[in-house]
Amino acid sequence: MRRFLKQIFVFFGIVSSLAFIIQCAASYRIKNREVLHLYDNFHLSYPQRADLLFMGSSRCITHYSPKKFDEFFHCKSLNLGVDGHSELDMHLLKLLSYLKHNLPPKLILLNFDIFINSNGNEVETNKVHKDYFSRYAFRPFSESTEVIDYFGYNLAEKYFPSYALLHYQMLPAIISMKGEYKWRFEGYERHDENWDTLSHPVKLIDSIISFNSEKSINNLKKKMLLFKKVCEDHHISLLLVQSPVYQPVFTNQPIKFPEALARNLGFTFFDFNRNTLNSQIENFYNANHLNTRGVGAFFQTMVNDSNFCAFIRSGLQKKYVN
Amino acid sequence: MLFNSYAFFIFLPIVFFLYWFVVNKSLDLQNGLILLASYVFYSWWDWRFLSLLFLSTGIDYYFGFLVATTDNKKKRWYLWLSIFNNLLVLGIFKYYNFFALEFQQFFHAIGVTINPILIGIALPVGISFYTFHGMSYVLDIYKGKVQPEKSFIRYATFVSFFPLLVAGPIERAAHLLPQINHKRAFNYTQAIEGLRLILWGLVKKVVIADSLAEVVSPLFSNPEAYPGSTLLVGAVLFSFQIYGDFSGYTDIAIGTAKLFGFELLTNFRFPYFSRDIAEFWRRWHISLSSWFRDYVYIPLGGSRGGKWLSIRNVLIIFLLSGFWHGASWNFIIWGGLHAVAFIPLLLRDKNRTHVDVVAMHKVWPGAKELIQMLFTFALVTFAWIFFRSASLPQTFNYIQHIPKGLFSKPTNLSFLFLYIIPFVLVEWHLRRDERVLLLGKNNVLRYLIYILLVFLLLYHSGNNAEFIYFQF
Repeated sequence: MRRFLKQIFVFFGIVSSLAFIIQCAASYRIKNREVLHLYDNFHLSYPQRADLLFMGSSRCITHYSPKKFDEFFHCKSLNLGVDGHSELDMHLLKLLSYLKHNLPPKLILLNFDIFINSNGNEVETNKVHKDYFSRYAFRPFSESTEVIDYFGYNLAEKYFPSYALLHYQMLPAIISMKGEYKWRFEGYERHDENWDTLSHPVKLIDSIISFNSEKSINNLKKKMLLFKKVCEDHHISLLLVQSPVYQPVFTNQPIKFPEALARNLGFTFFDFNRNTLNSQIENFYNANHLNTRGVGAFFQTMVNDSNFCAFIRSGLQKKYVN
Repeated sequence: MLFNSYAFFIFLPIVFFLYWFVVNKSLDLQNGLILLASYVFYSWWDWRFLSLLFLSTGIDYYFGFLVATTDNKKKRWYLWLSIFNNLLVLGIFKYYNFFALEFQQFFHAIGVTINPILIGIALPVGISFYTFHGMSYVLDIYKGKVQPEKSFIRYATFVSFFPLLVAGPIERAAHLLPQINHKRAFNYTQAIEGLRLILWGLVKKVVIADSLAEVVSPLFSNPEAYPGSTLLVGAVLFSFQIYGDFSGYTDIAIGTAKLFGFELLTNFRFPYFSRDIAEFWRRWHISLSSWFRDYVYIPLGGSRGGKWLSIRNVLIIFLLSGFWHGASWNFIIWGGLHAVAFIPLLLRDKNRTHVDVVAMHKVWPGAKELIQMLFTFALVTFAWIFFRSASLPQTFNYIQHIPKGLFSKPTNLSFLFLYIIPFVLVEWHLRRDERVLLLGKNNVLRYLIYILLVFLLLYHSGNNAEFIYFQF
C-alpha cells in the first residue's frame, strides 16, 4: 500500500508541477495583451489612466469610439464594454475592478437602453464568454477577482493550475495567439459592413427584453443606485446614454422606459435614439448595433448636442481625486 | 453519480481510504462499506429509486432461498415467480409505455379509440442491469451452480456493487459472490492495473466518445442539412462514439473494482477488429451476450435441435438483445439486423471460425483479414444508425440522405484523422490483451504517456456528457 500511495503522490506531484509551469507561462503570455477578440478586455484597464470610461454591453463596445472622443474633447478615454453582458451587475463589478487597480476616471458614460437589466444576485448569472474569461480564472494569479467570481468558476478551475485553461480549451489560443485582434486600433469594435438582411432578415422584435416585471425593475433600480453611489464615492460624474437601435423593428418595445427610469432616480440621461439615426438601415449592421457609418453619425449627433457636450466638458474639467 | 464527474473523484478516494485503512480488519465491515457506498453512488442520481433497487434486491434474495430449499415442482414455480417479478419491474418502468402506445395505435388502425394511462416516470438508471443480476442469481441457484447467500448484506453488495451498478458488466453470482465472501487483501499490481484501466477508460469516454458526440448529434437531429459524405463519416464516428462510451465505462468499472480487490467479467475485446458478426458478438458487450446465451439460448435448445431451431433461437436472442436496450422498434430492428448477418454464418457452420485474436503473431493484418474486418465494421455501422436514431422515420431519413452528395468533401473528416485513426492504432497495438493496457518496460516513457493522457483528459473535460448505456 505504501508503494501504491507513493506512486500516486509522485504522479500527481509531477502533473501538478507541470500544470503550474504551464499556468505561469500562460499567465505571463497573456498579461496586458489583447488576445482572442475583446471578450476579456477588462485587463486592459490596469495600466491605463483614463478621463472618460465607456461602459455597457456590446452596444457600448461597438458604438463609442474613444479615438473620436479623445480628439474632440482632448481627453483620454477607454471603452470597457463587455460583450454579451447587458446586466448592470457585470458593469458594476468591472468598475469596482477598474477602481481597485487604477485612479478613478473623471467621467463615466454608461450605455443605458432597453437591453439593460440586473439579475439582482438572485438568479443564475449570465455565463456568456465564460470560456474566454477562464484565462484569468486561476485565483492566485487573478487580478480581477470581482469579474472572475461573477462567472462562478468552481474550486478546481480557480485553484488547480492550468485546469481552467484546459477545461475551456483556451491553451492553444494562448500559445499561438492566433486570435489576437487589435481592436484597440481605434479603441472600439469597428464594423464596416452593412446589415446582411438575407442572412439576418429584418423582422419585428416581439419579446420585451427587459423591464418585464416589477421584480426585474426593482432589481435594476437597486443596482443603478449602487452604481451611482460607487461613482459618487469616487467623485466620478455619471452619464447615462441611450444609443440608437433600428427603430422599425423595435416598435413593440418600451423604448422610452430607460429614460423615465433614469430620470426618476435622478440620473443624467441623454436619449440619442433619434429619428435621424434610428430610421436609416444603412447605419446598422444588425438591429441593435451601429456600423462605422452609424457610429460616425451617432458621434456627430452627440457632439452637436450642446447639453451633452457641456456635461462632458464639465465632467472632464475636474481635477483627479487621488 | 457519473464516473467522469467531480463528485466521483472525491467519492472514490474517500471510499478507498475507508475501505483499506478503517474497515480493513473485517470482511463484513468492508462489504457493508461497499454496500453503503453503492447506495450513495446510486442515490446521487435519484435517491427515490433506491427503494426500487432495495425492493428488487430483497425479493430476489428471498426467492433465492425459496428456490434452494423447496422440492423440484415448487422450485420451478418459485423460479418463474422470481423471473416474473424481475420482468414485471422492467415491464412497468421500461416497456409499459411502449406497449400501451403500440396498442393504442393498433386499435386506432381498426377504428377503436383507447386512451391508455401512461407512466410519467423517468427510467430508473441501471434497471436493466440490476434486474439481470438478480435473475442470474436465482437461475444459478436453480441450476445448482451457486448456493443461496445467507448474508443479505453480501447479496445486496453483489447486486449493487457501485462500479457495475448502472451499466454493467452484468456479473454472475458464481463469479462475484465468492469474491465478496472472501477477505480481500491489497494487491499493488492489481491496484495499479485498476488505475491504468480507469485512466484509459476516461480517455475513451471523455476524449473520444464525448468529442465525437458533439459532431454526431447534429447529424442525426437534422440529416437534411448535411451532404451524404458527412452523414456517412458521421455514422462511422458514432460507431466509435458508442464504443468509446460503453467500453470506456466498462474499463472504469473494472479498474475501480480492482482498486477494491475485485475482478469483474470482461465486457469488450476490441470488437471492431472482428472478422465476422459472430466474432463481433464474442467481443462486444460480452457479459450481456453470454447472459442471453446461458439463460435464454441454451435453455431454448441452443444449436442442438437442428438448423431451423437454431435459427429460431438466434433470432430470439438477437431480438431480445435489441429489446433489452430499449422499448423501441429501432432497437428491435437493430437486433434483427445482427441476426440477419449472423444466421448465414450459422447455416454454413462458420460462426466459430474466428475465435483467436486477429493477426495474433503479426504486426499488421493481411489483406483478407483487413477486408473481413472492414466488411464487418460496415455491417455494424449500418446497424448503429438504427440504434442511434430516435425513431424509425429519423433512421430512414438519415439513410435516404447518405447517397445525396456522397462524393462531396465531408465536413467532419478531420475528426476521423484527429480521433479515430490514432485511437484505432492504439487499440490495434493493445488487441492481444486489454488488461496489460499502457504497460511498457520503459518507466519514463510510460509516465510521459500517462501525463499526456491526464492533460488530454483535462483538455476535454468540458464535454461532460452522460454515458449512453445509462439509459438502458
